[in-house]
Amino acid sequence: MAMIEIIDSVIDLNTNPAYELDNYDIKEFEEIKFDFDELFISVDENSTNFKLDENFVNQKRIDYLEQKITPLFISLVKNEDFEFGKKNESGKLIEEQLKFNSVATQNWFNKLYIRYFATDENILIGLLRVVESLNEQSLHPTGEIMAIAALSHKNDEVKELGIRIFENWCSLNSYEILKSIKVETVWLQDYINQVIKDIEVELCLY
Amino acid sequence: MEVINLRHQIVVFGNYDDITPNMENIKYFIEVFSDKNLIPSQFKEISFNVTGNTVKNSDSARLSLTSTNGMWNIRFNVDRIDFVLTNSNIGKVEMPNTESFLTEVEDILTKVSQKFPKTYKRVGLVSQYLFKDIDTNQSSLKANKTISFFNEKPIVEWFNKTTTRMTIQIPEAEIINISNELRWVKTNIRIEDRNILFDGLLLNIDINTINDNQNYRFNSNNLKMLLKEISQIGETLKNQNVETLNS
Repeated sequence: MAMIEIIDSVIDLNTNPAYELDNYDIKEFEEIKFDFDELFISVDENSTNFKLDENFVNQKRIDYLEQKITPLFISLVKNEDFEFGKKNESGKLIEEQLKFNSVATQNWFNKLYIRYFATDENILIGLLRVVESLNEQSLHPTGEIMAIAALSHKNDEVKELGIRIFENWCSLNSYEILKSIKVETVWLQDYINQVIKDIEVELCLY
Repeated sequence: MEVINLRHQIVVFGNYDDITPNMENIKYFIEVFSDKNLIPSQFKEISFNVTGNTVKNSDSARLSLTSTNGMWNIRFNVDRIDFVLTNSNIGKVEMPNTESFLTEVEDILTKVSQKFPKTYKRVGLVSQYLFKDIDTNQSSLKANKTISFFNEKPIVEWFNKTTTRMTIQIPEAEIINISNELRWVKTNIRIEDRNILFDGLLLNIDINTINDNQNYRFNSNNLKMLLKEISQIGETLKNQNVETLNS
């Protein structure tokens, strides 16, 4: 094709300063198309033409969550009495942040989970209770992954909470996930099997 | 080596929420800029703010003024006015130098201020130049300390950016960012009514007051002094780049 040949020749002969493409639609050549406006845009905050990109926006939100929300949230998680079926303050705080930026909030929440998974079982249990209190969709897919990860924790209460989250959501998605889980611990597998049966009854799946 | 004066941009940051494309404003701007052939139009500005407890994510209709030859474009965003002068047809249109550009911007801003008196919180000047008829490897060698691997092969792309900060007096002390960016580009530009694939060097000089200071501290006199100071710095940078690349 003639147009391809022109691109090739431009690439091969780049020691020459300029090429005339008067008779061709240069906009069709994505490889050589260049917009000077792009050079005007910068992700450097010191530039006059600093512009936010999506990653920057999310990172800004994560920074904000880490600096402003984490201390309050962890304090609530540590001190709150979680009652089944009742809205708790830490859950409300997460829901509020999810409305602002779901991606960044889930990322931030996941980072907290990983941090406390190995360092503080009490906070970890608190985090799982927050997940349990939330709607399945609001933390999807982070919530499911947290619950599955909880099953591998050495603490039995953490393991139990992992199943209880799915039990509480009682959805087809929870059912599918639980059906594909096999654990060594007998009491835990019994509990999983029981929850599977309960969901089957609840959702008329048998 | 030929130096082409490609683009000048001045940005004055402030609060321009009220300069919207309504009939009254459009009528005003048509009248005061009749001598410059600036045509009002509107564009959508998408803005969002992620700091604090709230996220503002909105789009709004904003006013833009464009000259009939496409060289001038003035955009009234919510928090900044962009004055952009582009060499839209190299060799066919007369591209003013930085000094004339500043005079024009000051004149336009004075007319804007007559209806919308403002103070400003941040100012930036960006100047772009193209260097034509220059060899990729030679220019890279002059501007960079390239490792031998690249010196032995044809270089197809290179980039160099240096930023510093300094304090100027206008008359109060003001900290400014100064960045010098050289980039090998392949792009289509309009030269003498023809679309030419330009394969050469672009110099981008950006001088601006730091973003950290958000106080509305500049009146029109400070602004004039500031623009004069930073344009002189920009001229020095441009000359030193030309000197280096010509050596």
